[in-house]
Amino acid sequence: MIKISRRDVLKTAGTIGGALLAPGLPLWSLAEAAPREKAPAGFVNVSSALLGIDAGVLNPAIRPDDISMADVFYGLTVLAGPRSIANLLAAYDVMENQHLRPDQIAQALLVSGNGPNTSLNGAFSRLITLMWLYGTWYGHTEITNIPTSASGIAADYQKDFVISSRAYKSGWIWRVAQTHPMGFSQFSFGSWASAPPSLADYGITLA
Amino acid sequence: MPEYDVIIVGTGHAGAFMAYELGSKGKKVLMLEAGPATPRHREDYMESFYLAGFKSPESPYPPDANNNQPRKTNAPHPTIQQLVFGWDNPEISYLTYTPGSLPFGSTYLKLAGGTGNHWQGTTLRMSKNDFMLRRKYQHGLDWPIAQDELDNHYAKVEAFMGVAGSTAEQLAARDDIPPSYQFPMPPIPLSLSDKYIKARVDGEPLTNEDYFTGQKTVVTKTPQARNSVPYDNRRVCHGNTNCVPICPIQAKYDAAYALGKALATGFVTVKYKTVVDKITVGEDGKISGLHYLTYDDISVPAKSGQTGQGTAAGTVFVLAASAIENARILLNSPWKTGMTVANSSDQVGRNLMDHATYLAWGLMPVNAPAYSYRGPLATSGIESLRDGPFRSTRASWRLELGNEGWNWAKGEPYAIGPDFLYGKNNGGLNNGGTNGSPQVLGNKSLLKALNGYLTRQFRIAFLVEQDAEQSNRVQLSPTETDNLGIPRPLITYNLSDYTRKGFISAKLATTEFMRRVGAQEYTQFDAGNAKQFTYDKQSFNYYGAGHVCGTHVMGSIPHASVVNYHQQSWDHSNLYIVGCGSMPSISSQNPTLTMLAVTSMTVDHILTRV
Amino acid sequence: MVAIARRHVILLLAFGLLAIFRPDVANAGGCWTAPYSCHPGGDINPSTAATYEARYMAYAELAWRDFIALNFPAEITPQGKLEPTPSKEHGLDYHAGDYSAVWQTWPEARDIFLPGAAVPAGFGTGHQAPADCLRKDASGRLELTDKIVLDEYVQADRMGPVIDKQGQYVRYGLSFSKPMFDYITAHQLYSTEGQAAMDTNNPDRDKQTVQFPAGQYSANDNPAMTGSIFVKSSWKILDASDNKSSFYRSQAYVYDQAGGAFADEPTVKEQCSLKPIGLVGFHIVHLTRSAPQWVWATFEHVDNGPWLNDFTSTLKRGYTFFDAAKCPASGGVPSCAFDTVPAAPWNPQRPGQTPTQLVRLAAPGKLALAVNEQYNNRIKTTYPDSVWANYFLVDVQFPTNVKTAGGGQGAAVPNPAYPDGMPATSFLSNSTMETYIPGFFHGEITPSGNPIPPDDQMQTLPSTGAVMPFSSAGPHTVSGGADRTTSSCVSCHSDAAMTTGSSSDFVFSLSRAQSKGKLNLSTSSTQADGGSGARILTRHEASSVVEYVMGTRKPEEPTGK
Repeated sequence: MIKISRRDVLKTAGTIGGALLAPGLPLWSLAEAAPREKAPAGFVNVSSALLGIDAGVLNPAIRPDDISMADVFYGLTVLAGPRSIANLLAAYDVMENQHLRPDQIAQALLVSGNGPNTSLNGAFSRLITLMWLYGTWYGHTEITNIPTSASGIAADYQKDFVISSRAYKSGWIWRVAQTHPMGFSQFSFGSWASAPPSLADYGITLA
Repeated sequence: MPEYDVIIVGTGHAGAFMAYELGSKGKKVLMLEAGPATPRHREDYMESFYLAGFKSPESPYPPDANNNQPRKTNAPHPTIQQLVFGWDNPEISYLTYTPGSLPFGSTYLKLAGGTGNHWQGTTLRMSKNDFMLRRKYQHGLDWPIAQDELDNHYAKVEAFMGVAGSTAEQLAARDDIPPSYQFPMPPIPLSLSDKYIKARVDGEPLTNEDYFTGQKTVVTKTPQARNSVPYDNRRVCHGNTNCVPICPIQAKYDAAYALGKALATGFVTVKYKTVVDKITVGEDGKISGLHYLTYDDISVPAKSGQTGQGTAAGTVFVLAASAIENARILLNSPWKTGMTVANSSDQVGRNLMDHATYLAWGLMPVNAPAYSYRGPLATSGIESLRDGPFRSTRASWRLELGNEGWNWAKGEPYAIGPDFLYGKNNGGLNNGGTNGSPQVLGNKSLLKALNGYLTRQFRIAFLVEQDAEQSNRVQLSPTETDNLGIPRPLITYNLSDYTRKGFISAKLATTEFMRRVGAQEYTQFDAGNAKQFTYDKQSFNYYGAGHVCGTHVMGSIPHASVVNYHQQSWDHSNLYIVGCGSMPSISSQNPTLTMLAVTSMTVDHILTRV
Repeated sequence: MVAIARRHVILLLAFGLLAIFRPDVANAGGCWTAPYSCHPGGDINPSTAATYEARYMAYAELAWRDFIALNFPAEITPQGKLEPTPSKEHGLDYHAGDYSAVWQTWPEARDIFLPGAAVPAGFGTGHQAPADCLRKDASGRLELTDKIVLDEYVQADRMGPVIDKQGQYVRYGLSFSKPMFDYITAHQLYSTEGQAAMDTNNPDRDKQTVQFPAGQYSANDNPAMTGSIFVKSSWKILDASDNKSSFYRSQAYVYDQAGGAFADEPTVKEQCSLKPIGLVGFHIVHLTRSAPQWVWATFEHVDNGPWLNDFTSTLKRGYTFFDAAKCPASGGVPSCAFDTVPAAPWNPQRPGQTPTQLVRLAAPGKLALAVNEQYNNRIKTTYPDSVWANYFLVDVQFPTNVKTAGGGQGAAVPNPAYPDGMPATSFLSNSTMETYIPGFFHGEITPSGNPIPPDDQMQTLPSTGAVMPFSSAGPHTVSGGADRTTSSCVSCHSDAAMTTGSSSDFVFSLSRAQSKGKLNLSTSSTQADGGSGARILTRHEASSVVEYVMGTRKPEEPTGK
């Protein structure tokens, strides 16, 4: 590890916003640790609708270090597009009050005609889904596919970046595939010789 | 009297092994490593890896693999990012090319432990005929040694690294291995998909080509330098499915671990961030020293350059900096008029080889998911079809069964999620809508598609032999340098008809393979990938296997080779040039094991002289 | 209180019910009086609320109760022999903190996994002293020693040693409780043959066939329900310059095996001497029904080193592994290179090695601090001068995602999809034992130049100010790090395997088992070269040693001589 003392950090503070962040990490990654804003229930619920995974499974009550990935992801959407996320949550509220089923809500948010929903609600629905699946913010991918989404995403967040190793290790794409993140396996020696854990054990149902 | 017995350039597989062997015998060794030292702990590499957007083999290691500016990097090396984003742009690509070249598909590292950090760990021995490619099959070059001369050395390095394997399996794979041999550790178990495939694929050869009588297709467990039991104070494999680029728990043997053991002998010193640029020759024609430059900054672009210089002297000198870098140092070192160090044969830099890899992928039947993305990257292969009379016509291949789904083939599982959210089909599976159009899915439909496809994905890879060709070579770029002012490599690279015919065979074998398994093939040519060629009206993509070989081949005739079978320069008796660069032919086996066995012979020779 | 005859007391001891009845023995003290218990807890109370705070505090309290119970003085027989039970008279202030604690009577890893897979001596009968440290009894025979033997100095995963200011290496010891010892001996897991037998029906080695006994909650700390505990202790070799009185102290054979404890340091020559030692760190690992991935707790001495946070206030005290004179604070950070892995070769006998400048990066978690406060106050109240007031819980790690099996006491089993149980405090290290992998902190960058994201950092809140390990008002740390490698206890120990390759239920030591093969009975006191391999010592009368006999020869006869 290139160990920098706090003094070095302060000394190079001017350059940190520039060169060191060149690979595309946003400024918030250097933010002083602060108690994180809790994700509103609506955020967890819309995530659950989009993914088809239970809210209580996505955001369990007891979790490592008491860090909720929902809080982490919500915090990121607020920095990337405070109005966009607020609008999305409001739209979700409306649909919830209309008693739409989760799959109907997902359909409404993600699909338009035969293609993706190109509104900003669609954009942030996709970005949220992808965060849960991959622990990655896909800002660049979003605006490459749907250029109009750029209007709802702050400039610093129009990049693709892995949010944190914690987010990577929590990625749901691996659990949906009944495996583990590449580079992070707690399974035993020889486990690859037998059937993997069931989806139910992962907390996922397909029905 | 020089202070050191042996100076070794490079701390990769060969260098670390040699340093340990020499240090254990009380010989004083100085190692010069172009890159930085191992960080405080592995977690530093792991965090780099986890945070990498592009999880290439280089992703855990410095310098920043996403930021490619070789002119402004102090000790740059090739990366997959360079290959993908600008292989032919010298601003981006460390390797430069002569016009008409194909891109060279493989990369390597410069840091403590070398490319041995991200090797996969496959340790297959080469077979008898592999050493006689020219004599038997009229292609390529012969080795100056026979396979059975290496038996004891193979055993020694397999014990040193810790290889898990089974002699019975190897004999079934038609390997030349003494039947009484016992591997250091029991073999790694087959994966679920290996077993399903084996039950259906074993039998007659996969193609209608000229095989030996009774030759069969047999899927066998792959011997690998990966712990199946606790060994050498390292842990057992836990299936992190990440051998390349990094095993988080060092269950896979790597050269950085050996370097630690070398340092523990108390006789080995390492200077990091020390780049050897020129070899100096004395009046007696022997090497008098290795000139080096030092630097401090590994960032890209570098904020500072050379910090100092020096010359290292010892009784014996060893270049173990990897094939392309060994050639680079030699070509950059003047000797006599019109000749550079160790190059009276004009073979330095020539005969550059790699295993051109043919990738094929598909979906297992719905009722027999592969459940890939588990276990080591590969646990089995088909080795039994590597050799045969067909080698007079087309290059050998070995077939590796992968456990990582479509990760190599299509960058999965990162393609499928965005595909089903954006209504795209980059991964090849989103064509279930009307008239084969892509769909956009959410909620349970999305989960069903993800689970349904990801659990069925699997791939196979054919490592196709490349024969030694004079014209495939490394020279020095006349214009491009790194930040220290050292000329960068200039590559001329092509694939011979011999190798291209190997691909034709691989494609046919794949069709038959898929048929036997009952799998649905999804292999597709990607015209946008620069690593491509056409042969017999068929277009292929090829990949590098990370096996950078040739460039200072060994031989029995001085004017036709660079080193003898001790990897000792014909021209300078106190210079050894070691590594995969010495291999005159590479068959289709991963070269590291054979390279280390040969290097074991080299160490024995050096020990008679210091 | 029921009047109990002495005979009944002995009977009750035999049935382990003493926790329920206080003995009516004159001068009964130590752990036998409230608020202490002589026995570790068995598990957290199953009725603990299913919230993060409640669970965390319950496990932290379990760790403290275990720590205290294990560190009460061991009973000493009239003949002066240590017994593996807590003393009836003495407490945590016994002999000013210089005594043998109960856990020191437990067998060490090196007592269980013997050369030639010899049968270990009976539980609590003493430690195998290497031939180089031998003590002979009156008859001239070799004898098991009461002293622990400390032959390890390289941290787990070969991270490196810690070097104190006098150039001595910190020493580590591993000890196992009786339920673990009994399980190992019953299944002959001290030999590769015994381990192979466990895996007869496990050809791919993917099943876990080893299952140590788990602890169970009992309101009265019934010792029969404690379950498996193993501990790792870290020690400083004390000398004249140390402020001894602040440490828990004991004596040990500090032993250097030729070539290193695991044959990894070829330059090390054999050496042994009896030394006074001071405890600087202590891991307690406890298997309970609620935590099938075990409960992992670690304690440290307050003086090990300053916290990085502390460099904004004046460093007030002397530290064991930190020389402030050579590393003054500058701009709020240490001005020297700290937590640096020592140069190879790691040879404790090599003179002139640079002492480690140890700086602690992570403070205890918020709830660990709260429990520290509670237990520290209790110790200071009941034993005003006890050295144990100088130790604090760094933190505790416990699973958050297990499957609760139905019925009875609701024993949990691992969730196959999350084998590590997704532990809380994800990243936990002891600065004396996992010195070089303390996690990431703010301001660091990876080798590839990425700044560390906040939820990957060990975030100390607030980020400046003195850390007070016994005060919940002081700064605390929220955990983070790349935990697949080490310093998530569970993550690392998940890789523990037997010599067969199958999982060894989180206990790495099982991989030390040797083969029965040929037993080398050389007793090195009779051989000039110190012998190679076995240093088997005898025990006067334990039946386990009779079992050990090879053929008809009793092992107490030295070969040769």
